[in-house]
Amino acid sequence: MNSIDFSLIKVAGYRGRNFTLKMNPKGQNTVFIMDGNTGKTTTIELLRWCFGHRESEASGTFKHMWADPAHVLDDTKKGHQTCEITIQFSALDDQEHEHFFQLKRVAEGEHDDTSPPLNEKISSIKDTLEIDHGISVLTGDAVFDYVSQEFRFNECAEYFCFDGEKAREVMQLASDSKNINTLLALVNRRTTHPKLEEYKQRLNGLRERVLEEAKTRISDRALELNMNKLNGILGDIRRAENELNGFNNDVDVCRLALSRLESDRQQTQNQITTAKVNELVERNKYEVEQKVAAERLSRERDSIYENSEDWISASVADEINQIKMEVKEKGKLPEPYRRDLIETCLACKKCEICGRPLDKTSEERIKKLELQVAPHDVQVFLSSNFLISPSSLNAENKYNSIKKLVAQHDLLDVKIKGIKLSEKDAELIARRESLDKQISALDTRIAGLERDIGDRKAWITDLKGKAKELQEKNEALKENKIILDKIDDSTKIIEDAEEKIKSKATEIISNVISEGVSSILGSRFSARFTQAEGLMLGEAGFYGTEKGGYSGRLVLSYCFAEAMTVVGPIIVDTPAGNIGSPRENLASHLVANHNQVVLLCLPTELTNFANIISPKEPITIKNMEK
Amino acid sequence: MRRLGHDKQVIIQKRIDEVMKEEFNKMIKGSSKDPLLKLLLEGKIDSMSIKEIREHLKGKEHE
Repeated sequence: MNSIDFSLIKVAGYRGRNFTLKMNPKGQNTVFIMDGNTGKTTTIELLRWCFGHRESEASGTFKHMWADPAHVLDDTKKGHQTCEITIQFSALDDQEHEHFFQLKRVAEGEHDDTSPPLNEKISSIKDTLEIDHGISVLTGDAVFDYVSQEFRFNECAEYFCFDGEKAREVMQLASDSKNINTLLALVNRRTTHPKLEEYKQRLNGLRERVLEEAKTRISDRALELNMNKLNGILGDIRRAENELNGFNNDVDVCRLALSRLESDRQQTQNQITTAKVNELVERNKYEVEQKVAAERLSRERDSIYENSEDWISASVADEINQIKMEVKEKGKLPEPYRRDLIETCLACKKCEICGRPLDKTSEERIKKLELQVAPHDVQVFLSSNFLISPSSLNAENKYNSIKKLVAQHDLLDVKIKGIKLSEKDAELIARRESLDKQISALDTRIAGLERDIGDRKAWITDLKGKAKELQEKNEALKENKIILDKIDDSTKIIEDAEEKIKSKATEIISNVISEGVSSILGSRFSARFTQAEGLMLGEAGFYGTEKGGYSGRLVLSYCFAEAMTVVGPIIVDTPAGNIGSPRENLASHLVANHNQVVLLCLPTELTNFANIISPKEPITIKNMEK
Repeated sequence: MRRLGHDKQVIIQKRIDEVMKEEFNKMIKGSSKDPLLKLLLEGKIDSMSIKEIREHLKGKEHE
């Protein structure tokens, strides 16, 4: 689907408010004049919520400005209530036929003071997608899956719904080289070649045709079983590859979210550290001490696991020494150790005592070991100092050391909790704690996803090996072996090309963003995006994180956002902001870059801007009534 | 009205997709003499029978 065009966004019951944005007819851009508190930010954030989160994961994922998560229901109203978001848009299919879509998300629940942090209980969230005025209707997670697959809204909802906050975020990402990985993750997501999946699917389709044809010629039961098994494995491979793609996508999304949270956490921590409030300074001091204690505690605990072998051998040393003494005295191992040892030696073809490989003579000797008094190597072994020396590990010392650290940690906890903070400072601390929890949860999720990715990759390799083996054995496929082999070769070439293109992606994106920046700010300006330095604005060939001032960096943010967008329209909240003189060029740039521009403008952004976006009279949206 | 194709403006999305496509095709075409891939890129696979594909590949192998 392409040529997406939004026609209506209707919000009903969001925090008790209702408003409708009805766009100009298809083919025209639209400017809404929306003064403060009329729903500009809300519109952007609700769109991101609807396009970015599937129904089953929507509860508790709405973000509003600095509140994350944020509530959607009216916090002044008692009893059952609903919040309804309706988004209408059209798009053209490959045959240029126009289709109409109405996506609706309805959240139901009630305000509840006893359910922090949102203070609301959502009883249900329901998504519905009507296609072509109800000819086809999807519900539940199928809505998200459909719009993600057909329009890729989920991949770029953060960018085609653009606002000052997002611009600020891009500016921050671009100004700190530590954020390069976040930028690279974004670029990697953007540069996945759309044709790649199609090519792979076509090759898979060909494989299925080959198998199908072979199946019609099978008369042998064994061959039929082989074919069924092969089909089953190929189905498993497809499922595993889909899951792998999903996990890779999720891990990128999580890493991006993590980077944002870490940036927020750093800012909050900076506010705490630089505060001139005695209580905060004191609390921070204790927290630093507590962190040191926690790290030492963790090291002490880790050392138990690191030295676990010593701990175990220390605990069984007496028993082992007793066995060895018996060996020395009697020249042979006591039962049952002797029999086990002999059997293990013979099975492994090496002496389990000295590690020497067994030649034929030694094997014969070992077989007769029970009859013999210790042979040569055993004699050498027995004459050495072989008793386990007493362990240097002292369990009691270790226990006391850990106990002391726990006490120190707990004492600092009491001190920290004893400090009375002002409401504002307490909020700051609560925010940091909330961010820590979210960061920790994301870290755990990323670790889990990485484990899943590793598992799936190993599984796919294993399945491909099995499939190859079955194919080789299958007589009915022998005739078309050449095709099956070539399918494997071609798939490998496509996958290698994808990897190569990802490494080239930064260069491509860098060049295109630079061209965009030059076209808005003038030829003196350019942009550079490298793996080493991140995203930078350049002036007269000199690059830096502070070049171009605020307006230059805002333009850089726009160009980056546009590079990350894969859909035609752009819906922008407060587009011109403090951009200054390049506003006319930015307006022209927006018009040229998008098949539809919807501006949610302040009244101050009309001159030399909104009129370039659309010559039609702007539509004024009044203050929303509760 | 819409002014797509505005003279001096850079259509960022289109440019990225174009350049990516060019690079991708260059990589695939440049790195491979694979006859099946060639058929795939030319969009011929779906219209050919298994027998035709097999004969084509065998023919290319003997070239």
